[in-house]
Order: sequence, then C-alpha cells, then structure tokens
Amino acid sequence: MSESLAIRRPEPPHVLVVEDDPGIRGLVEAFLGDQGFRVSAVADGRAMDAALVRGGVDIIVLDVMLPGESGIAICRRLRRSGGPPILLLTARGEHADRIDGLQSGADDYLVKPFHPGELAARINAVLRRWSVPPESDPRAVAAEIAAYRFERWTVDLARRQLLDGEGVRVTLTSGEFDLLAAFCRSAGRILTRDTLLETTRRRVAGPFDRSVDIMVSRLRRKLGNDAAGEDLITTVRNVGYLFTAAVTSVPADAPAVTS
Amino acid sequence: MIRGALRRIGARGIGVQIAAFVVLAVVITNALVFGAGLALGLALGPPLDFDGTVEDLFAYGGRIATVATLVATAPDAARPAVAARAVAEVPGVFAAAADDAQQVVPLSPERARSFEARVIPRLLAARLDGRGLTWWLQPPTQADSRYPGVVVDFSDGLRLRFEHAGADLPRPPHRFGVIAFGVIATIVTIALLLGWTSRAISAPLERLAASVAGGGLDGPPLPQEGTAEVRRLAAALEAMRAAQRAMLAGRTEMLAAVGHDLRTPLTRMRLRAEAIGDPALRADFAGEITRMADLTDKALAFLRGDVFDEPFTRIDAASLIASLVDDLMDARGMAADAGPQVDLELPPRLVVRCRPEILARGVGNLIENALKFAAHRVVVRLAVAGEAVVIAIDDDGPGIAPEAREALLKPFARADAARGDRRGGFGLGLAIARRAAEQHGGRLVLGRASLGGLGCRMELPIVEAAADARAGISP
Repeated sequence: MSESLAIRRPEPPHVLVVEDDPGIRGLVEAFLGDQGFRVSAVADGRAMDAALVRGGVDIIVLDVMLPGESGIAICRRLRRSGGPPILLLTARGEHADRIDGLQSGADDYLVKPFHPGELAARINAVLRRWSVPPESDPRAVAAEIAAYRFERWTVDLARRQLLDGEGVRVTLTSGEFDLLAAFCRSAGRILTRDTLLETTRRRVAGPFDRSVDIMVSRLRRKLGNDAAGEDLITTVRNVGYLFTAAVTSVPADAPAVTS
Repeated sequence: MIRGALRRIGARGIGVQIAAFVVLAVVITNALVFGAGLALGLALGPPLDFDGTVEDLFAYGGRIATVATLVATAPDAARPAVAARAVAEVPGVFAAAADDAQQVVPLSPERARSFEARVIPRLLAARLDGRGLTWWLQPPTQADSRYPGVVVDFSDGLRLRFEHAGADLPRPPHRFGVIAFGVIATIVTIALLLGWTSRAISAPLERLAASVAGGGLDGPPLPQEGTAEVRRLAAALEAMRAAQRAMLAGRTEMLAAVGHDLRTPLTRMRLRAEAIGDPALRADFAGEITRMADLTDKALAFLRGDVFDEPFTRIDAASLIASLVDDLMDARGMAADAGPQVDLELPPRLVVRCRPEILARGVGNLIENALKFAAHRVVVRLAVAGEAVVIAIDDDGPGIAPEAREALLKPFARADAARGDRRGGFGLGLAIARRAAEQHGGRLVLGRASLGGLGCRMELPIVEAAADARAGISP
C-alpha cells in the first residue's frame, strides 16, 4: 500500500466514503471534492469491498452505524487484512464508543455532527502520518504494541489510560494522551511542534503551536520528574521537544497490562 | 381508646405487634387459670397464708382422735391403764388433772382464726362426737408451735392433753413463691418467643426492606429468606425490579435510537450550513447544531445513568479535575481568552476510589454550568475534609436564590429567569451532578459562593488513604 501511496503522491488523495444516509453521503462527497480530494462514495460494506478491489483508495471515511456489517466490524476486518487508513464517523459521543472505535484499529474518529473543515483536516493528518517511511509505520506500531512503560508509568494504549506505579489512574485530556503516546513512540528523538500538532486531536481550534506548548506543560506537571529529578520532557529551543525517558514497549499478546 | 392503642401497636412493627398479642394472651390465660384455681383452692383447701403441711395437720388430728377413741371405748376398769399406756407410748399425749386451771385457757383470737384451729375441731367432731366425750382447744405449751393443744375429757375424771409432737414436716415452697416462679417463667418464655419472632419474621422483612431501599434497580438480588409470605414478597419485588429494569433499558435504548437518528439530520444540516455565504450566520448555525447535539447527548447520558453500573477504580482526582477543566478550555479554542477565567486549587495528587466516568460527568457538568453563568471568574477546589473529598465550584455569576436551589437539583428544572440563561438547555446539569454524588454515597449542596455567584459543593466519602496503606495492591 505504501508504495502505491508513494507513487500517487503528486495526485490528490483518493477518499472512499462509506455512509448509508444518502444525504450525508452526497454532502460529504461534494464537500471533500471542493477541498481537492478525489472522492468516491458507497452505502455499505459490500459496496466498499467492491471499491477496494478496484484499488487506488488512500483513506476510508467510515460510518459506524451501517446496515449489515457494522463500521466497527469492517474496521477490524480491514485491519487484519491491512487495508488503507480509516477515519471513523461515530454517532455517539460516549467515551466507551470512541474507545471501541480506536481499539478496532481506526486511525482517528469524528463525532457527528462534525465540522466539515475538521473532517478535511483530519483526513490530511492521517494521510501525512501514513506517508512516513515503512519502518515506523504507525499502523504496524499500533497493531503490535499494547502499552508503553517508563519510569513508574504505564501508558495503556488500548484503554487510553495512564497508570502510575500503584495502579492509580491519572487522567489526561485526549490531546495530552496523544502527545504522550507520540513521545513514547519516538523516545530519544526530537519531535517538532508541527509533528506533535498533527498527532494530537486538537488541530482545528486554537492557535496551534501555543496549544502544543500548553499541553506539554500540563503533561510535565502530571508526569513529574524522573528518578534523578530531571524533567522527562526537554525543550529544544526553536525546534520542539525531546522525551528523555527509557521507554519499554509491551506487545499486544503479552499478559494483561493492567489489573 | 383501646382501638387507638391497638392501632399504635399495629404501627410499631410485626415484632411489637406479636409481642403485644402474646403478652395479652398469656396474661388473660394466666388470670383465668389462677383465678379459677385460687377460687377452688380457697373453697376446698387451706388459705393462701397457710404455710404448714396439710399432712402434718391431719396426722396430728388423726392421732388425737384414735387415742381418744381407744381410751373411750376401753372397759371402764381398763381405761386408766389404757390412758396411762397411751401417755407412755404415744408422743404428745399427756395426763391432765381434772382441776388444772391451766386447761381452760382460751385461744388467742389470732390463733383461733388459724387454719389449724379451724380444721382440727372438724376432724375431731367427725370422729369423736357421740362417744360421750368433751374436748376443746387450748394454747400449746410450746408457744411457738403452730398447732393448738387439745384437751379431751372422758367424763369420769380422766383427762388427756394432746400436743403436736416432734418437728413439723418440711414445708412445701411457699405458694407466693410458686406464683412468682410462674410469672418469671412466663416472662422468660415471652422474651424467648419475642426473640424468635423478631428473628424468624421481622428480621427477614427488615433485611428485605433494607436491600430494596439500598440496592436500587441494580442492587444485588433480594434475600429469599424468612416465612413463606416474606419469600413470596421478595420474589414479587424481584420480578417487579426486573420488569422495571427492562422497561428502563427499553426506554434508554429507544432514546438512544432517537438520539442517533437525530444525529443524521443534524449532520446533514451541519454540512449544508457550509453553503451559507455569510460567515457570521454560518457560525451561528454551526453553533446551534452543536448545541442540539450536546443536548441530546446530555439527556442520553442522564437516562443511561439509570442503567450504567460503572465499577469503582482508584484514580488521582486532582488530574481528573484538571483534565476536565483543560478539556473545556481547549474546546473553547480561539475564544479561550474571551470567556471567564478558571482558577484551580488542587493538591498535587489525591487518590480516591470512585466511578471515574460518572464522577467526571457530574463534576464536568458543574464546571460547564459555572463557565456558562460566570461573569469573569470560576474557582474549582479539591480538598479533603475529614472522611470526605470535597469538590467545590464557585462562580461570580448571578447565583441562584436559596428557595430555588432544591428545585433546580431535579431533572429538567431550569432557572432561566433567575440566572439569565438565554441559551437554553434541558436543565440536566445539576441533576446529573447530584446523581453522580449520590452514586458515590455523597451529596451535592448548592449555596452562595464567596465570589458572589453559585457555589456548588460535592461531598464524597471516597478517600482512599486508609485502604491505600492497607492493601498496597500493585497492578
């Protein structure tokens, strides 16, 4: 897939919209078309499979509540067979539903009714994440790693929870969690503000670079210092941030991460 | 009056009621039996204050009659010898001179009334009358003997004096003692009965009432114990609870479906709004659509709370509240500088055992409310006060009049007029927060903030410190 993506790079990305409501389907198709994407739209999983066989799809925008095979089930199936990235459209804002979506292997989600501009921005962000070299392919990472550990902390990716050494859950905002996951993925490497911005889910609102700085400072406060009393996140002036902790990955097939 | 007393007893509970009836029955039965027994005994037997033995009395009377008969029926020549023989051989028989002045002393009135003094003449009359004898009672030579002495005159100058000889037979227990024992035995029996009654009948009922009241719809199964009636009641309540749960789940499911179905037209509207040329109008439209989605979300969350049974988890409450505020501020986005400022007063870390989703939703609603009504400033505090965790949210808005506060804690109550809310809502925020507090065994109190506006105070008995030290569980 990534090779075909690389070849198609100069062309506008091809978005496949899977949505059963004809009104929304048509409107999203028209909107994304206006935004410069190549768009095709289908009503259910079967039509989606046919479109995937024809090939050339760079990203799928998938409704969760579909007749027949549900969006979550489709998501799991595609993950196993290694299809293109998926952005889920969920109808409910319930926390459990979002986690369900992300656990099923979706790359991102958006709650209906969504800001159309945000849909376009997230499609672009997911595509950018997928265009990085294959050795740090985020899908491969997401599929194999269930959790990260550093210092006294455990970052449970499946449940999106941060636990301390005593098993006490420390709550992060969803932006802070994305940021921490990105830091763990790239520990020891400098991450630019722009990279971090893309990994967080707060891309549309707020003056961007400032929001990353604010989130980093909150994250620092919640994590505290390392054993030697040093900051776990170092600021690299005018570039970005460096996560200095020694991170171990816990594979998905390891015994339960948390009790 | 009696009817009123019965009603009062009836209202006290089964244990008291049964006790009252048992006591009443025992008292009435005893009164009847004792009364009848007493009447019969007094008519036929010795009086209540007789504390000797009837056997002893009859033996004494019989001895007198027998000796007197033997002497009286002996041939005239042999009579003195028989009398002398009786004096020598039978204890308590003495020879008496016919002219002895001591022998005609009358009994004292007290002794004359005694049971002995009344029974002995009857015994002697039955056996001795018609034999040509005269006899009479006189005080015993031993003044402390209960039995009167008897003098028998054989009319030929021979007289015998009889005294009760030897010690009294052992006395039977005093009859007052027998009655006292009966009363005590009755009381003990009633006490045991009461204990059994309350254990067998009222205790299962009490436990049933407690689990119905305490468990709510999602509580543990009701105890199936006690008498058949109580077990039937428990089963009926359980069935009713299941039916209610099903109804509630059905209602929630239906509303969830409605909520979901609403999302589709809302999403379409949101997409169509992009076609509006005027940016200000488009933003207004988008805002209204978002608000409608939030409202359905909130109503759904409230209804779902009835059936959602989240487990207790150990979390850091300080980070939970900080994240709630940060999420709300993040959501404000570009307008972050325009709205009220939020000051956090949190400890660095406070471990609690709670239902994180429910608590976050409750506190989140309070903070959202405060942000909505505050003029410039909101203060969010987290502290431990004794056994409880206190979460206080103060704003400097218009506040709520004291008399309106309780009503506002009810679902779908709104104080638009009082708080100048023109943005609308279902008025579920405070109700969700209150229920969140109650689902942690705590409470939500509304008051006046030091900042001037509404002060919300959640008091939750969820401090983990003790359990923390005890368990030391690691993941």
